[in-house]
Amino acid sequence: MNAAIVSVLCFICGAILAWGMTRVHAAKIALGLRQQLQGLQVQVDELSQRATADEVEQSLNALRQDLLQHQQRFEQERSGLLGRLDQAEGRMAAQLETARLAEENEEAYAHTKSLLSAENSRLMAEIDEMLDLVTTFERWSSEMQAILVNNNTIKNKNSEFESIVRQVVMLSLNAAIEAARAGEQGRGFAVVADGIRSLAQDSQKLSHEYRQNLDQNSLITTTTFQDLQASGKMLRTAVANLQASNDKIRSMLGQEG
Amino acid sequence: MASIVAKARLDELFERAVREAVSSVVDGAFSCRQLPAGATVVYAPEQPLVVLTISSYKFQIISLFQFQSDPSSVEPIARLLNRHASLQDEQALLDAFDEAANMICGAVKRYLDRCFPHIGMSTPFVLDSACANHLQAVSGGKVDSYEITVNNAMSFRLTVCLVADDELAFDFHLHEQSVVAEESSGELELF
Repeated sequence: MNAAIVSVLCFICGAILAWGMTRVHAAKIALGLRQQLQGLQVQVDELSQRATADEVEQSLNALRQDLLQHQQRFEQERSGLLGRLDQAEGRMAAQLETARLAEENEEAYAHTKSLLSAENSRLMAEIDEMLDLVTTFERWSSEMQAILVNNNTIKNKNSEFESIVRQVVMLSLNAAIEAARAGEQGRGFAVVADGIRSLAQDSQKLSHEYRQNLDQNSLITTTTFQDLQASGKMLRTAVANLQASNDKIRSMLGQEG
Repeated sequence: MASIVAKARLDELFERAVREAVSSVVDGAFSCRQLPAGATVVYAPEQPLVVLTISSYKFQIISLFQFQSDPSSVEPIARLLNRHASLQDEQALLDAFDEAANMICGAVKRYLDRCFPHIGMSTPFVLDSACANHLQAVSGGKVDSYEITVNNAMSFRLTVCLVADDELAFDFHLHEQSVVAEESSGELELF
């Protein structure tokens, strides 16, 4: 019985000791936890002073949006700059090509200018010849004038002839009358007078037709002469205009040279 | 042969030129009567024929003026040409007829200059009036004759002949401005 009591007492003491130690350990743990909790509380307080979690999230989202917009603008500007750079490179390439072509064509240009100058000189010479041709027209006009004068002379002579023929007709009539008065003896004379009158009338008719031909001839000659004269003036004006244009071209070639 | 339309336009131009020239010195009714086709020009030794030609590459216009020598017809011409002395001398009269025809044709030619780049005009020449009867046979172009009367006092005859291709078109419009745009001293103008 004493051993059992001692065992029980030992057990009780052990239990009390364990309990005590557990209490102490728990107290220590609690103290540690309390200290940690205090530390966390301090952190939470610090965080709470700065921002709540939502606000942080919102700020972060705003920052992301802002960043995204900046990125987009950057991309746009970068694209624009790249495009302008491409264009500038293209223009530069074109200018280089133009300069290259200009350099290559300079020799051809000089050759063409030389040919143009030569053609211009030839054209000047031909224009001078054409002006001489216009002078020829004027000479023809003078010759035509002589034809007209001659035509008028012929008409005047024809008029004189007509006058003579009329007189012959009158004379033949008178002769026929006198022959009739002479009776039988005048018969032969009457025949001759009739013959003369007939011839005179034929001459009169021919003279009249000749006059008409002369009138037609006068008109043909006059209109031809005038056409020649007018055409000569027209050509002179045309050639003068051509000469002026050629002089202008020559002046331009001379200025470039 | 020139087209009928082209000839009609040309006749219109001549009538306008004559009307303006005559109306500038004579007040009164102006009449331009077309004569029947093939009308024979009256042969009158005292009425010489003044012939003038306007030529281009594409056409030839032959105009014949038959003026009268009576005082009522001569006096307006003298005024038109600013000739104050009486035109009694035959040569002076012929010269006046020449210059009057030259003035009228010159106005026509100036107007045609707007449509055709190269046109020339001859100097006038005097023929017997009987020569006009042969115009159709000579040119083969379209011929029309007109009797022009002013104030029932002055009268003269104008015949216009156009020698051109059918394709020729006088594509001009008679504007309000005068055809006889320039005053003439009466001397022969070099066209």
